Amino acid sequence: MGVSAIAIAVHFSAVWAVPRVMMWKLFDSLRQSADGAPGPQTPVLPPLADATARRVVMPNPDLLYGLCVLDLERGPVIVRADPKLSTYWSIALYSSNSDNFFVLNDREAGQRPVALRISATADQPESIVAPSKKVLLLMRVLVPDRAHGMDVLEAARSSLKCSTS
Amino acid sequence: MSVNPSMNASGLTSRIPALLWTVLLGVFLGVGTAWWAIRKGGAAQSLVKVGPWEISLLAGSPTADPYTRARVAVVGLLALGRQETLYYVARTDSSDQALRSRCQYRIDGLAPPTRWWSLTAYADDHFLFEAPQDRFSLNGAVAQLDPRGEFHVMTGPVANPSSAALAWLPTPGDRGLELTLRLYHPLPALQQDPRGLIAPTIERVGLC
Repeated sequence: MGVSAIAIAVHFSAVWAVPRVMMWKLFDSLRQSADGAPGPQTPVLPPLADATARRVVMPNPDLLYGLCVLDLERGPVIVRADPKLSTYWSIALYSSNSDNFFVLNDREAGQRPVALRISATADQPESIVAPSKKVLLLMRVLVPDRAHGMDVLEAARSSLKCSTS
Repeated sequence: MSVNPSMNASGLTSRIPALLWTVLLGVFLGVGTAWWAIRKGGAAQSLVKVGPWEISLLAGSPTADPYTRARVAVVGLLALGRQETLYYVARTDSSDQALRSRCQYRIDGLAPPTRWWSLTAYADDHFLFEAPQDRFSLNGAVAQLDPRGEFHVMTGPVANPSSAALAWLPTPGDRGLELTLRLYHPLPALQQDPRGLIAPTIERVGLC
């Protein structure tokens, strides 16, 4: 086996692995943040991003984030939220290779509470079938102005619940 | 015919350094070219330029090619698809000179055709600057538009007294600078073809 064959194999392996490693590091970081908190899928609710926000690149300082690591090995996960906002919010799901395979936003949800069932298998027709057994949920809540209305936006974000039943 | 095991072992031993060098060189070249392709984005099939702004048409998409997926993981992990958000990133000014945080830039542009937009300054490590008074971004909810519907922003390490009327995004230190223009719920025509954006201009002001 020559140098070029090894280089080609390593090149494609590295390109394939980069998004998976980045997601694995993020899952690990979030798991450590949620340790000690009640419940297996406790949302992580970081403060508004500033220069100390170093977990994920390009943090948006105009958004409040809510994150859950969904471990579908143990079965489906139920996600609930009731933001009750007329401004932008969304709930996005990312597979372990970083693909965004699902998103629900405020326009699609209307003012109705959100209830999503996420599963690794197509066991029920209303389930969202994830392409991987570990999934990242990212809730975004728009903050039009950091100086005003933060309590309402915080309440909207805190309505996020991720549970196994 | 029999083979002398000691000669075989000795032959193998003499070949180990060459094999080791072959493997090391292969790994070095493989990792190096992968890193170059990801960082520079040259191999990603979905990158397009709009003025000084660059956008990946497949960021966050399950149909992204492996290079796009890897690049987005490094420079914009957890991106949304373009039906939800468009991300335009500038690393050069309108004269194609690399952006530096120590320099002052003036950004002028029409408010983009979208439900909500923001312009954020990042250091070259893709994280926010230590900006005083939380001046990390300008967004469509608070931006003041002139009668033509344009916004105007200055960036630089200190506020420019001659541009006090303009919004200012502080970029302290001397390092690479990235500007990200996010469009949430862009209008359908722009969503279909993000190259249709009337790109904001980025002009360096004075010497730096």
